[in-house]
Amino acid sequence: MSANGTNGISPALRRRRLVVRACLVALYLAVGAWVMLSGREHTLLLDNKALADGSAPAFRRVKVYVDRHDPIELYARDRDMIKVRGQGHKIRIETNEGAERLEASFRLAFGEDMFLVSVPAMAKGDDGFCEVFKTADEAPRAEPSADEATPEPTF
Amino acid sequence: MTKRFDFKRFVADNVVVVIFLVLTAIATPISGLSANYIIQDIITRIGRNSFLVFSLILPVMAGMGLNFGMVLGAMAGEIGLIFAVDWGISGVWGLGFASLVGLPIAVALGWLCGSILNRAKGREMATGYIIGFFMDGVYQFAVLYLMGSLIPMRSLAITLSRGYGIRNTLNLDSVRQSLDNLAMVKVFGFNVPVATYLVVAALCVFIVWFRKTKLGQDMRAIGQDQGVSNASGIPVEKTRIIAIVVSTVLAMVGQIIFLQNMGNMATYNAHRQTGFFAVAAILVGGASVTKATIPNVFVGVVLLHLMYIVMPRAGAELFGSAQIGEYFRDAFSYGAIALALVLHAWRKRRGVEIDRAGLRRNTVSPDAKGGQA
Repeated sequence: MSANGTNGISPALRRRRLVVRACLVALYLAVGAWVMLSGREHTLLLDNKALADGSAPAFRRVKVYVDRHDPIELYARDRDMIKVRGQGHKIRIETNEGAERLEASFRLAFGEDMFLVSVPAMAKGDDGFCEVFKTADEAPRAEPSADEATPEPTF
Repeated sequence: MTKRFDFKRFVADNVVVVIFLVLTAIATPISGLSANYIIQDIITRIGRNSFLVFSLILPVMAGMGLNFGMVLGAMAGEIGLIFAVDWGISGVWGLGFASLVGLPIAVALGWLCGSILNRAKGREMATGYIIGFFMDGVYQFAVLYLMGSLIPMRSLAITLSRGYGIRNTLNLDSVRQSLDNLAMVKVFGFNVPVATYLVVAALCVFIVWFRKTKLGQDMRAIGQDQGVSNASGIPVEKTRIIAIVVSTVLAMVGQIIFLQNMGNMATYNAHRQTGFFAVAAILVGGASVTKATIPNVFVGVVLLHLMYIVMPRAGAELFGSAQIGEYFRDAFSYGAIALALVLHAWRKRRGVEIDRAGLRRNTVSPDAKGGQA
């Protein structure tokens, strides 16, 4: 080892090594982020139920295409599940009953596992047709009311 | 000058392979399994296991013996898979993600293992085995207590009901056989996982290429004589560490390929037998503590797994209990390791004696195998 602790390596070579290593770390992180975003799996619940406000009825029969997956046939009040990968997706429907919109693109939030896609809402042209779906285990529990928190002692 | 084929010598040099061939040749007809079933299972098992076994080649090349410390890489791969499942990264992407997460862990553990082995020269195998046990404890601590408490986990499905720690068995449905099914081709009625085979083939090419590089030549030189290598300016300790780091990283990828094929993971046990089975396979394939080649890996995986397939059924047919066949295969696997190690020690001693005799007579028989076996 040399007296100045550089181990006999010239400063230019040291700088070059540092740059190469930094580039490798950046590449590793970039590939990691790309793999993570592209491989993230989400569950879509395709829902063919009339909207709660009655503005769009359920289809009696509709064929739903999501990306390049096999089509799913839904009858009125049906709900089916499909797993998709990545955040950007396309949905297309085929039906004999009139629809304002037959095709739409939508994005999914990376951090959420499950989404509810309302087919009637999509066909109606509503942009909020895809919303996060929480299972009973995941849903945040409501804060107990003061009465529930301190129950009256009973004997 | 043509050399005559010496049958006795051939058998003596390949005694482990011959024993396994004889055993499986006897057990196969008794098992009553169809050829189609056996071939299909062997095709699957070659894809599943050979990557793991390949991870043993480089340390042998560097004269460090059979790297029982490869379980460290297996643990790194499992940690990667836990995170892939937790984050919901599925398919081949999930395997890539697991590899990326496992990579720095495997490098760090490999460096640690290599540094320790440098302080235990001549006792690498036993030391590696014990390091595996030690790191198993650290792994259990990390997975059982730190994951979910210190290390945030997202999925309730994989964490224990108490809120921290990972469940005993991890369902790998999201990545199950994703590499195998990426390009499954039917050849003569057999399903061949072409993508997995391509990955294994790429590793073979890498090993062939690596042997020809400066680093590969350094490893071979160190494997032959550390003192001479050191005197000729090869950084012995650094090169040995690199051999173990590469072996650990390959073991990490191998464990991911193995587990994606299985489809589930015994969180706390999956890595424990990894080193043992890989070592058994390469020894059964005719490798020794000082010499391991690519054909050794394939012959070993085929022979060992042929025995694994037929023995339980042969046991069931002969004794009315498949469990006896299981005992057989365990006994023969451990026996293969013991026999190979004993033979190695015996050949080494015989080689030294031949060398001494040659020096005394100032001549060495051209057929004698002196020095290292």
